[in-house]
Order: sequence, then C-alpha cells, then structure tokens
Amino acid sequence: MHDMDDETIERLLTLSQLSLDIEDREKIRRDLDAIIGFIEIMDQVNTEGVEPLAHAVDLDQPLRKDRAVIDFERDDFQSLAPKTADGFYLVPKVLDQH
Amino acid sequence: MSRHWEPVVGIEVHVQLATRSKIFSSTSVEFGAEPNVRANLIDLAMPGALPVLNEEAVTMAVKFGLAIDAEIAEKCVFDRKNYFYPDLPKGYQISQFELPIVGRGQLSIFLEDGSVRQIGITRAHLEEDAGKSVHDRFSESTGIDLNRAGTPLLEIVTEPDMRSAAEAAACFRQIHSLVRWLEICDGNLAEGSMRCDANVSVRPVGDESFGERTEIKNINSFRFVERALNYEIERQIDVLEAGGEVVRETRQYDATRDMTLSMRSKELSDDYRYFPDPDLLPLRLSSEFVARARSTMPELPQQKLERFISDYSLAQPVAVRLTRDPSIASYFESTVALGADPQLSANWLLGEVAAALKREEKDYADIPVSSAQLADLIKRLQDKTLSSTLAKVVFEHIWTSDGSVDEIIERQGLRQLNDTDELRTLVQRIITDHPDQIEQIQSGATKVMGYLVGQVMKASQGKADPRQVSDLLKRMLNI
Repeated sequence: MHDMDDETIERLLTLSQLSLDIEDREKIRRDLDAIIGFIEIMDQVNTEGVEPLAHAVDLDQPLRKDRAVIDFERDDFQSLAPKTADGFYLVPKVLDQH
Repeated sequence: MSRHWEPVVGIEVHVQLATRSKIFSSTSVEFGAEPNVRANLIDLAMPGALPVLNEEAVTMAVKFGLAIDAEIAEKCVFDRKNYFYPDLPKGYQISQFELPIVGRGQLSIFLEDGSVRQIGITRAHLEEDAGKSVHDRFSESTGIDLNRAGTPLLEIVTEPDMRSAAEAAACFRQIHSLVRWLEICDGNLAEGSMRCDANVSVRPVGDESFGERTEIKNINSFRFVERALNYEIERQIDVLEAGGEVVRETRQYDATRDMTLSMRSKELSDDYRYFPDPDLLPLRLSSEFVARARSTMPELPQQKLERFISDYSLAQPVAVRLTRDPSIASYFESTVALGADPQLSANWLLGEVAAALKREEKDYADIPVSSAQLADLIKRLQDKTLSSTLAKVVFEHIWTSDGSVDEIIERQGLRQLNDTDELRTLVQRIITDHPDQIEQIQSGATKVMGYLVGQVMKASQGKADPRQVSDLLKRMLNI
C-alpha cells in the first residue's frame, strides 16, 4: 500500500490552492492512498507496444470555420459576476506579478 | 565579455495567429476593444461550455511547419496546463505537451557580418492566450479583461543553438519575418502580437555540457532581446567568476534600467500537471489537409533571397534586407520589372527610401512614391540625365508631390550637364580662375584636383557629374 507522506500532501494542497484542517487532511490521505492503490493495480498491466490513449472516445477532433460571431451581451455575463467595474471583472488584489 | 566563456541561448516565441476568431470559440480577436466585450461563455469558462477548434489556426500552424521543413504531426493532442491565476478563468491553459502539431525543423538566420547559421527548431505547438490583469487601476482589486483570453498562439521553441545575444536577436527577427510572409501573424510587436522568452546559460569555452540557465520572459523587441541577453550573459559570468552559482529562475528585462531582475524561482510553480484535455479529441491531419495548406503558401523569404542573389547578382546582406518584409520585396521586384537596374534599385530602396520612411515613421507598405516613379528615376540615372545629387532632388519632389520624373526634371531644370560644350566652358573658366592650383596639380599635388572638382560642381549648381568633371579636368590639363 502506498503511503502519502506529509510533504506530498502539503505540496498537493499548495498546487490546488486548498487549506485543510488536520481531520480533513487525514481523510484526504486515506482517500488518496486508496486511489493510488487502484492505479498501482493498473500499473501491473503490460502496456508494451500499446499506443497511449489520448481520449476514451475513438473519434477525431472536428474543426470550426474561422468566423467571428457576436451572439452575446457583456452585461448579461457581468450581471452574474460578484464584482465588476468599468467593464472589468474584479478579483481580490493580486500582488504576485505573474 | 570574457573570452573564456561561451553563452548558450535558445528562444521561445509566442506568435498570435491572425485568425478572425479565437482558437476555441467564435469570439472576434480584434485588438483594442472595450474590456470583456470579446469574452463569450467559452472564454469566461462558464460551466458546461465546450471548446471547438478553429480550422484556420490549425492551417496556419501547418504552414509554419512546412516553411521550416518540419514534420507535421499526423496526430496531435491538446493538453491542460494547470495553474491558478485570475486571468486564466478555467484554472488551466489549453496547450500541447507531448504531441505538438509541428515537430523538428530548421531556420536559417542571417548575421550582420553576412554569415548564415542554421538554427534547429525543436517544435511548435498551438495554445490559447490568457487574459490581462490590470493591477494599477483599482485600489482594492485587480481588474480582469478576458478579451485576449483564447487568442490563438503558436509557440515556437528553438534548440539551444545560438552562441550570442546577436544571434538570438537575428533568430527572433527571422521568425518575425517568416510569420509575416506566411501571413499568419501581423507581426505587431508593440501590440504584443509576438513575444520572446530567452533561455540563457554560459559555459567555459570548449565544454560540452551546459551551465545552469535562467529564463528571461516576455521581451517584445529585437533590440531588447539583444540588450537583455547581453546584460544577463555578463551577469552570469560575473557570478561564476566570483565563485558563485547561477540560480535557475525566471527573470524579466527592465528596459529603462537596461537590466534583468529576478521574478520568481522555479520550483513549485513549474508543476503544471499536464494531461490530455477530455473536452478535445485528438487532431488528425490528413495529407490532403496539409497539401491544401501548402498550396496557399507564397514564395518563402529563403527562396526569394536565393533568387535575388542568383537573378540580380545582389550581395547576400542586401538580399537579406530586401526579403525581410514582404512589402519591400514586392516593391523591389516591381521596380526591377519596369526596367530599373537591380543594384541601383536595391541601393535606393535601402538608402534614400529607407531614410525617408524612417524620418516619417512609415513602413514600406506606405511608400508615397510608386514603383513606376522610382523606376523612372533610376532609369534617368542610368542614361545619365541625372547625377546622383540631382536624383536626390527629384526624389524629394516625387516623395512630397505628384508628377512624373521627366516633368519634374524639365520643370525644375534638373538635367545633368553632360560632356557638352556647356560643361567644357565651365571647366575652362575654373581652370582660368585658379592658376595657382593648376600649377600645384602639374607639379604633382593631385589632391588639389578634388578642390577644383568641387569648384566646378558649385558653379554648375550641382548639375554636373563629379566623375565626368574629374575626367574632363584631367583631359584638359593633359594629366
């Protein structure tokens, strides 16, 4: 059985921008251990010479003609947003310059 | 730069593809709209909205691949690149990771000294652009404008084949020229249509392995690529010579201070957890699709360049400059087709015309003089109706007003004084007026000849040809 260490849990929480209390952490740890256990079973299958699967459905991507269509009003979308001003969607101040 | 160190540079260029609509939605990509009027439910990542791939973006990527002689993938896959940032509403960017549309290819770059280098292109892949965050407009919030979100990008990645800042700038320039030729990008650097990231490291000359590298993000001019890299190369050499170690990190170039600054170290933020996007199916490109893309491609700059050298006997650096931009190349070709000498046409286009355009901050696409007018002007130079000085005067006239070259020559009395009685009379007068100088010349001080030619030119009000005057003087003085 795989064992999720604290460091890995911490890293996953940071990457998914979540903060959990001790109790939830332990629950997540048990769930992840179980999930990874399933994956480890699949890892035992011999996939030598099998092409990696990019999609579960065996179809090709259809293409769209390059036509620009305006079929919406900005105000309709903005009325759904928690906060807007001058046409911008507002979010809490981002300090870290991406 | 210390001669003991060798820089190693590779670049990544993001090219905004000149489609009408976005890569996965039908919203227009026109630049300069009010915030968020070009953001529909797909661009806003509304739950349940599904992306549909734009055919034209695919065609443009294929054209680029063909132009660099690359393998076009029969099957490619779109992946999710996961990171959190408010201008990326889905929480991931749709990109391509393991199976990009364009594989390995190569590009010739042309250096100032006339030499040519082959640069390997590792790959080029399709992806969507993010929106824009506005940090300084609202005191308590960051404003998000998603007009740019979903704009199709082709990210072109080179091999670490460049060995100087100048080579990296030449490579960026060559990619710029190529995408404009192919008409897959407008090439407008000021509006952010192309952005360059550069990976740079230094190593002791002779070493095979690479040193630790840094990445300089988002450089948007040829000059800044060169300056940023020169600064960064010096900085790394200083660190290493002081016994330190280069830290792997992302840096940005501050043009006003002409230096690079650390942005963030690459540890956690680099874990993008790519996986195939279940909202998009694998893209399969038939040979017919590729053939159709190929059939709409123009003559490539590289082919045109070789033809200019062989057909018109132009020097390579001249041919490079004439093929850098489609509008200058076609202007040159129509001037020559009208009977103007190719070498003179090239000189005028890259000399007088370029200077006048620069003065008025215009492009070759906006030359106010027609190629027919320039061809006429050059023909009058060839048949010696005009001296080069007079030709410049006529050029100023046709630049600022209408009228044929011949009309202007007649109206302004700009015909060159050729080996006629009129010119002989003038030369004789100067000889008579300058007995001292003549004596000096006859006793061997040939340098004084230049002074006399100048006097004749002055007396002719610039209408004589200095070479003819010089020959005539020599003949009349029997020297």
